[in-house]
Amino acid sequence: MELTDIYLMIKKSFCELTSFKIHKEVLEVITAFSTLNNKFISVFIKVESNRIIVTDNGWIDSNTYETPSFDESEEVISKIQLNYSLTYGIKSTYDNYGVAYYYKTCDLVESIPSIVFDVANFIVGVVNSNCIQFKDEKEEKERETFRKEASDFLRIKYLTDVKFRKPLDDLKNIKFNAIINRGSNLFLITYITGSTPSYFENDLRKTIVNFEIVDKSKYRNIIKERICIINNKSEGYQPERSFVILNLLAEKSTREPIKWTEKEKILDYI
Amino acid sequence: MKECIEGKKINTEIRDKFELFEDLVNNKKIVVSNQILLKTKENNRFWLKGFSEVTHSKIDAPIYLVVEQSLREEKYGIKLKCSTLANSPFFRFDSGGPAHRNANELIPLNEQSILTPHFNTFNEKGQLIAYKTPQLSNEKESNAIVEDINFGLSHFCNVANMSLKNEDYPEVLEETPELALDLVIPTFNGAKFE
Repeated sequence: MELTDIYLMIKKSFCELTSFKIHKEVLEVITAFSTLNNKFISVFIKVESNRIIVTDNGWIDSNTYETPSFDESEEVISKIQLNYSLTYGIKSTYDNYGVAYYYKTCDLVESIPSIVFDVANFIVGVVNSNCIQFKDEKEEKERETFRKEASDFLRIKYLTDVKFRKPLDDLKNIKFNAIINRGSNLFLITYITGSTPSYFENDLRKTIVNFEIVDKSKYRNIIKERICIINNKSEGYQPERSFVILNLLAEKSTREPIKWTEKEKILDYI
Repeated sequence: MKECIEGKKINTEIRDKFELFEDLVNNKKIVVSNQILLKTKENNRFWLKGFSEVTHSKIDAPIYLVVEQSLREEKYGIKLKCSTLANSPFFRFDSGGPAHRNANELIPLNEQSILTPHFNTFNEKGQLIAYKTPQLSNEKESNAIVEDINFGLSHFCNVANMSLKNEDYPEVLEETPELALDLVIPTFNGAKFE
């Protein structure tokens, strides 16, 4: 087979993928663009006297492409959608049910293929972004398991003296994994873990910043200790790699980080 | 539970219980209700929904026949669910909506796109497969099925080896008849374009 024959075969197959349906005055073009969940993208075309409308027919908003729902990805998805709509010049409107229609219009019949290309590309991008779970499940699990284990340990040791995921009264935006109240003293505890070094170091940085901001609190004089519990069993724990940040942490903490395998040490301090 | 293997979405529940899946699809089933009454869906006002229990000659598991009619578009869907097998429907028919891609390099590319109306089922790997019956491949019969939900339900029952006890097929009724079956939907549901 000649190379040009291969090209012609591909061109023919690609073209034959494009199909259509007529819905009264609306033409549905089933394009050759397909999504991560194996749906082909349809665009809907209506020719009016003075312009041509090409729309998704509300299929994105009504989830006709049946993408999964990852609520926690909403922010990322809306960023992707904004980017696609700017790139392809997509506008939106609402129908009588309040369903969003994404669309483009043009004046010339000759422009239809070009705006169909834009609208179809937009739909593929948006539908695909909805197919992806952006949250790292392994990391979430790691974090949740360690948080629970560490909190259970502290609850047994300090009973009602310990409160979890609470801020200081005057720094509402900064929550600590645990605050222990003993006599007139406060002990701030943070947990550090991560399924990768990068997640682990993010936790380190967060602790450093939070411990630093505590200096602005009116309670700074009764805060006896700022201690972190490090999950040295986690995959992200690589002290050789993270030593610079660990050193910084040492400056902001009142004690050496407590390794999870030596957690009883905390009893020496609190 | 879905997982992704080589970029293809896999229904692992169906893959792991494929014998049960085959039994559920292929063996004779009885639709319990003569009439399936469509009511507005509680969580989605764009759809009417109705269902009937289904009994299986050999399997003692809760099986449901679910019928859904869109209020926004002239389309409906019919599906079979069995929670013992899987959370998602194991067999379904869509009169409208997007074409499905049967992504398989052994199928010529231009034949990988299966337009609606089509049936959705699964292969032994747990991959979702779309297909058309000979009736759906015939333009005239296909149009009749798309336009008449009761015709579609009979066809679905026939393909899925189901009927009422008396060998008839169930009938779809609406709670408020003006809502759906004779609904005239304005173009793009009245959306105004700049």
